[in-house]
Amino acid sequence: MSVIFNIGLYHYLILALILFCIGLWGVIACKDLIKVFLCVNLMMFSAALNYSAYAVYVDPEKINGVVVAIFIIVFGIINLVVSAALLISVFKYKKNLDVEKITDIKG
Amino acid sequence: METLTTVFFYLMSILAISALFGMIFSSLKKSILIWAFILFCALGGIYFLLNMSFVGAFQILVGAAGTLCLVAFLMFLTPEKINRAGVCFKARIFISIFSILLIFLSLLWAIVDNYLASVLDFIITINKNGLLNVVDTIGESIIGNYAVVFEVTAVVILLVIVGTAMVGVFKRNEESR
Repeated sequence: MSVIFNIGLYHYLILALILFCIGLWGVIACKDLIKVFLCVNLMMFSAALNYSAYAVYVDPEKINGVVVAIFIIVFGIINLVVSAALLISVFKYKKNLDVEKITDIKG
Repeated sequence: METLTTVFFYLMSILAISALFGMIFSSLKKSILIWAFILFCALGGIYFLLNMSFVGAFQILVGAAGTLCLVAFLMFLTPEKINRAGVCFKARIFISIFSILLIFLSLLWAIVDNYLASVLDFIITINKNGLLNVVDTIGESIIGNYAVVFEVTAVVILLVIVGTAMVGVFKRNEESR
């Protein structure tokens, strides 16, 4: 029982793993392109959580994991910006964002 | 204090996982709101629990405020009919669930195996005090050791701004024809 109640590094790793797997499943299962990109972002943020947990528990004197986590968050937002622009562009041509109906990528 | 930490961790974890499921299964408007508020607040709370208040605040600010504005624009620019696309329940979905379950179990086995090894050999020493909370240290590290990455990130952000604007301009030119 102490393994469950004493929160440590592995609890954070398992949480990040669960978030990553649900995000991966969302990427495969969702038909809406917006949700697919949100799930991809969430997978990136679960990786950032992994880095942060290692930074705190394994090497707290250095700051490497925190900086990497910040960069991952920034790149996740950049990913979202680019995907939003592309989604709007795709929608203008296809009038749809259903992944099963967008079969060709060129307009 | 330890009990409070445990309760907070499990609360935030359940909130994040349930928000993720809610995001996948609900309609687009609800899923964006869930994603922006609940999920990022839960992840920010976990960062605060890790004694990294700077990253937690960064996650909440950037995640909740910035992306909410962005996705709200996306939502207003697209009509209602695309919001009907949900989750496809076909045979391939069971295959994907099986494969992801396999990935999950294999990684979980790796984590638990390492955990048992660390318990036996005392490899990982838990130390939660340190410099992680100090903004000065993060700033010096970004400017010092990670200056190249910082500059590359700046260039990538500039390219993203120009590329997004180009997509908009191209779209307008096509519409004007």
